[in-house]
Amino acid sequence: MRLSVLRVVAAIGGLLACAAPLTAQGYHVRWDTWFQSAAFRGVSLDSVPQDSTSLDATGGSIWKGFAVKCGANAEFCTFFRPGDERRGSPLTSTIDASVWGFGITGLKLHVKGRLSTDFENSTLAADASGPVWPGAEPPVQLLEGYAEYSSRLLTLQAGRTHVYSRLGFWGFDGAQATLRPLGGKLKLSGYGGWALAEAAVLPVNSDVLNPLDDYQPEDRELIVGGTAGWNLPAFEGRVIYQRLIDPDVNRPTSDMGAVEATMYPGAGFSVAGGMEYNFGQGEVGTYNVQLAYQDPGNWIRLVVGDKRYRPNFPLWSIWGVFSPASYNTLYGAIAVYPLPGLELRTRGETYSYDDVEGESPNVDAEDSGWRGSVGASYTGFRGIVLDATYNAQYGPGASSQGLTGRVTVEPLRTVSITAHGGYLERPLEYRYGDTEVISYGLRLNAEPTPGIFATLGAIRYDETRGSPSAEFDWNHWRVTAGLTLMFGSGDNRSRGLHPSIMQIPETRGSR
Amino acid sequence: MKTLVIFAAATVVAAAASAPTATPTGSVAGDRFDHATHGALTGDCAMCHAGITTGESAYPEPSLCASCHDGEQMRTVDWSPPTGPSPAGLAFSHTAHPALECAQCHQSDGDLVRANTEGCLSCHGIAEHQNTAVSDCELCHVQMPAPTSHAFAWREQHASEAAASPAACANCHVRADCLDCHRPDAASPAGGYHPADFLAGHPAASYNRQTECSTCHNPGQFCQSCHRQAGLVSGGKAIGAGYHDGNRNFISGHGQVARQNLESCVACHTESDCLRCHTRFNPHGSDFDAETWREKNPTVCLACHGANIPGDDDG
Repeated sequence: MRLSVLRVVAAIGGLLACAAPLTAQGYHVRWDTWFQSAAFRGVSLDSVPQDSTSLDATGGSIWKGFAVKCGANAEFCTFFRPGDERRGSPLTSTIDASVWGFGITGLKLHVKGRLSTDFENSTLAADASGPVWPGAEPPVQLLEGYAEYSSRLLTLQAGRTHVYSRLGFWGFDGAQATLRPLGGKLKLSGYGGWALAEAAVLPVNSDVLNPLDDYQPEDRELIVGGTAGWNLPAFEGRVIYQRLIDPDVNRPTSDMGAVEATMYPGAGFSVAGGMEYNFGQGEVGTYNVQLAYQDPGNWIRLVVGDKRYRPNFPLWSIWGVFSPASYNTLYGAIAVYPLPGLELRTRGETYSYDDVEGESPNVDAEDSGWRGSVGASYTGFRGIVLDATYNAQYGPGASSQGLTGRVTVEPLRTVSITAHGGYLERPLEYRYGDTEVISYGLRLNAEPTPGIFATLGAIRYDETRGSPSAEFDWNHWRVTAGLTLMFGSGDNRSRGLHPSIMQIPETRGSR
Repeated sequence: MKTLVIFAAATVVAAAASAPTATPTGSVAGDRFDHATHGALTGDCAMCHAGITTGESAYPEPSLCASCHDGEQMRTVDWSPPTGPSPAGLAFSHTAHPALECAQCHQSDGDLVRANTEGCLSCHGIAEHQNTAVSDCELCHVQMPAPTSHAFAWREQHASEAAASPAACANCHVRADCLDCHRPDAASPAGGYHPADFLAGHPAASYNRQTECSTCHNPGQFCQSCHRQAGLVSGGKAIGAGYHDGNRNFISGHGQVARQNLESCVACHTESDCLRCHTRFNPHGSDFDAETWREKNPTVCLACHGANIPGDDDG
């Protein structure tokens, strides 16, 4: 797999290298490089002799304030104490490049690849070694690399690309075609190829996706799917189907369909909804409906909605057979814009789980909760942005409340400085001890010359945990640096745009 | 069923509340002015917009309206030319395009539209929206604040609209913007999609599905690998060691919690953890459709049932 990725990168790099000398070609390149250093502290399994423990008021065993687990007639009791501090220092470099102008209008090549590493290697035991920070593997990642032909009627893509719908955001190596007959009112698309895993640029059988050495398909999945959609002035509707197949056993690992529609009855109203069906498990999946109103004068926006979320696990894992419960939520939100640049907003939501038929007197678990937020933003001062939000949620297993805020100042057109801070409380229902975190930081963004963007940032986290974990230092810093270069065909300003566009008076004025 | 009822009711309410719509061929989305009726009276665009290519005025004087809407022939109207940025959000100059016919940009399949930007692209030599810098976007688009549709949890709810109308997103975004969040890199700074203190707060957010983590984070590559570094995974070695110490009997009564939040469980636990006991204790709920599952892909049934899958005549 690594070799094939390198081949693709080399091939597209070669195309890019050859592109510049050819007449009438255009290209655009964006090169992002990011570094960060961040620390966190986990837990470590430890044990103490049972005769050194005592009972607390609830009848449970404790040792120096730690809740401990003592088996029947066991000589030692176990518990999780704070672990060593770990620091990850990942560096990533991502190139996004497009080349067009091969004599065929609408034809382009596109590639997005990433190099990634972590300067800190794990100090854990050999069976748990590797980069400290998640997502730093593999070192070479091809996010996209495809050839595309696009016209008003048709779009064709071949290579590594993505599709997105209410069934998810899926990558694959293959081809997709989209037809837009009837002036675009009808939209038909189909795709197929070798699938990438959910939310990854690696196939499902990659070792990187299996850090716990769990069950995993042996072969890469195939993906096929298609959509049919109607785009009318007051109605949009779509039918979606997608199947993933394990070629090893020639059986589907996911078999999903969906319908969705959005209606615009007028006067600023829209109604949107949809429903998924899991053909693989014979059940209705996630469905939702949402009503939104946006005042044509842009001074108020209202949203109310209802959603039933059904967890969806692949058929190659056993998790689906545990019958995970559906999650039902009802929400509403309102934003008003009473003054130019001022947004006042609030949102509320209640949710509950279906009956799970698994209640036990040993664990008093809740099955419903709520969350809400209120916030404001103001952009009315020239070169200054103010924003603050309060969030709270209470529900099964975990709750939290906190406040975040930021002030962004632009002393120059090419420089912005953001100061931000937050306060968070996070009690966990199934863990002993609460957490409070105060965070504050600064971020500097600058464009020293056209096409070069630099970012520097630092955040301090002051964290307090309930006794006895409070004896440990949980505070840490997180620093970030980034550099983005953008360049393309044509002069520095146009970056590939036709010279006539540069003659538009308003364009000159807005610069 | 409840959702379907709400869906139907919401549609009826929205339809009832809507204003009478003009004929599709005559109205511009978002405009209250009925171009179809007035166009039939005046005959051509220049009747009201004659000064638009000379820089004099894009709109008629209100007195022109009052020549008919004088309170006797027609009801009076309170109208004045709009001010502020272009409602289409384009940095377009009509004075720089005196030779263009109105219909070249403002008509699409017989419908009157604000601006048909496909016409711009065909003349100005770019085949698509492929410039990613904000400054590049401003070459064609007036820099405007995010639309109010982006208020609230828009990022969590944008999926359907983005999939249905990618052209609308392309007014401000390029395709690479999607991958910035959907395939985040390991060095992305804090304070992007999530708030800067999200690391401390993510248990509550994931546990109660504030967001669907697996849309952007692979559970193995992201959740499990980080939890392994933090010592949070069982790995089949520490089950029953007392991590869930907020309740000392957690393991014996975890069924409800597991079914409600299975996606959180699998961030630390493996299938083998659960199969230690659940090969003997039935894990299926009453709505488990064994027949469909077996027909689609019976391989997972083998983990507990071996070759004797219930209901499988070939087993």
